Amino acid sequence: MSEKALTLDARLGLDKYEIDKENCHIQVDQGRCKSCQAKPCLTVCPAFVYQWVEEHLAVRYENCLECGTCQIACDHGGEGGISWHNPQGGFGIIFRYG
Amino acid sequence: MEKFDAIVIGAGPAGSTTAYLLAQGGLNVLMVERGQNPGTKTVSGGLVYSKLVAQIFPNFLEGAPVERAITGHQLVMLDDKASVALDFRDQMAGQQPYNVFSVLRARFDPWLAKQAEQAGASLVNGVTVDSLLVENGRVIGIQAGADQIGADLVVIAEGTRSLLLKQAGLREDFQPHDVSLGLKEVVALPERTIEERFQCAPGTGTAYTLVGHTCGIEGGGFLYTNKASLSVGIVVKIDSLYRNKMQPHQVLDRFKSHPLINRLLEDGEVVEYSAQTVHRGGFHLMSRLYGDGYVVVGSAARLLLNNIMTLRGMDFAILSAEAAARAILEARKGGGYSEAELSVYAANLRKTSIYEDWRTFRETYGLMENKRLFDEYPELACRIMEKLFAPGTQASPKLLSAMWQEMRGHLSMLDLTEDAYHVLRGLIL
Repeated sequence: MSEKALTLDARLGLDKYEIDKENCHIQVDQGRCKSCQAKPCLTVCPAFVYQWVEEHLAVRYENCLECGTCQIACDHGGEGGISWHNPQGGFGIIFRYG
Repeated sequence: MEKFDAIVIGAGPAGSTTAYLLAQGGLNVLMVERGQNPGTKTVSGGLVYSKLVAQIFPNFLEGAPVERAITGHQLVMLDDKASVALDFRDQMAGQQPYNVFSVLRARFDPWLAKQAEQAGASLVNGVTVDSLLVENGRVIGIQAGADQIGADLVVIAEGTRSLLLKQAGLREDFQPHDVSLGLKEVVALPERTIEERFQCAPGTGTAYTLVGHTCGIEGGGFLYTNKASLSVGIVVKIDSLYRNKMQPHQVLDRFKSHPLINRLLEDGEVVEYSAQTVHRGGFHLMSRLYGDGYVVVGSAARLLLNNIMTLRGMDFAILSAEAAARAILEARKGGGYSEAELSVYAANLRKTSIYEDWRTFRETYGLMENKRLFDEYPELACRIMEKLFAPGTQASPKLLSAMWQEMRGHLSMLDLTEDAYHVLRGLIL
């Protein structure tokens, strides 16, 4: 492709979501995150859901692709501050191609 | 409490196949899917090896919504700008009995679920199972929101994240070096363009497996032709990503920027961005397959075969479902679904050809750990080829001395010998 690579947000913008405005499917133990040196979640998430903002972990759960990478990286490469659950039925990412 | 003979959690290939076979066997089956429809939560590179699948679903070849019959396979090593490829084409794979098809899961999974429904299984979409109901060590049903539903048997086909098993303490913890992240884009292109660009007849297509140019992260890339799109992506190790502080989409962009890939994607429009965790298959990593009142099928049990040349998940899922369903129907005749009675499932699975493949290719697991395979060797191969094909002002060397020259300072004889031994043991001898 001659055009430049899409930004990550532009890419996420192509995807379809049914956002659960009331419930966040990712729980975070901010205390653990604060003490976590490595913070692998900031690197491994393909949707850049996790960002370190003003001494706490901000979670853009509405962009989550539901791959499960963060949980595995956090449990073993971090401090286990992330608890990832499946979104409520019907909510979250809706792949149209898969 | 409402009760069924069997509840199947997840309407992917493993779940729908189990439901289909159990319903055919006369069981009252409920399938519970958390997506709005089957196939909306699933991602695959997208190849289904069809010979075994067609035995389980007799109308597979006529009815299944596949994209293209794959008649060309390319194994490619990439360095920064160059590439070395092995190109295999066989037109016979474009006709009965075929070999492998590209699929898109949002189209493929609903068809499989439909087969189960037509056999008599009930499907509810948009329901997330929150936990397994366990009584005295036996799985007796599911909890979804405020609802409890009972079953004589629960089939756990929840896919690669396997959360319910983790929560119930029925599986080992996943280690980051045993799991990769698969990252993919679907790139739309007109059918004609695909056929011209990949030199394939209408209805047929090509699958690329690529090694190298993944920022030194262990793993590789793939590029498959669909009907009017390409599936392009990478499968890279999770621990390597965070140790090297590489964001996955950057690795994907770098991979896509290689001139070979770039050219194949030209003028295409990205229409979807998706991700999924991919387990490293293998005996030693397989989760517990059964217990009192439950079985685990497909990638929830980490059933996957990766021998570098082929990565088989969907057909393994379907095959494991068949092995489980036969065991369940037999156990039912015996009167119960105790752990001992369901152990026939593991015995059935051991008899499948894919399980045999696991045994045959068990030495390849070690290869995936070898970083040199993913950066040094692709570069070495490209540099040697350059020497052979680009005579300059210096006298040209023969192959072996070109190799020695290029290895100097990058690879030792000991590394080469050791790696060659492992490749031989893993893939060839």
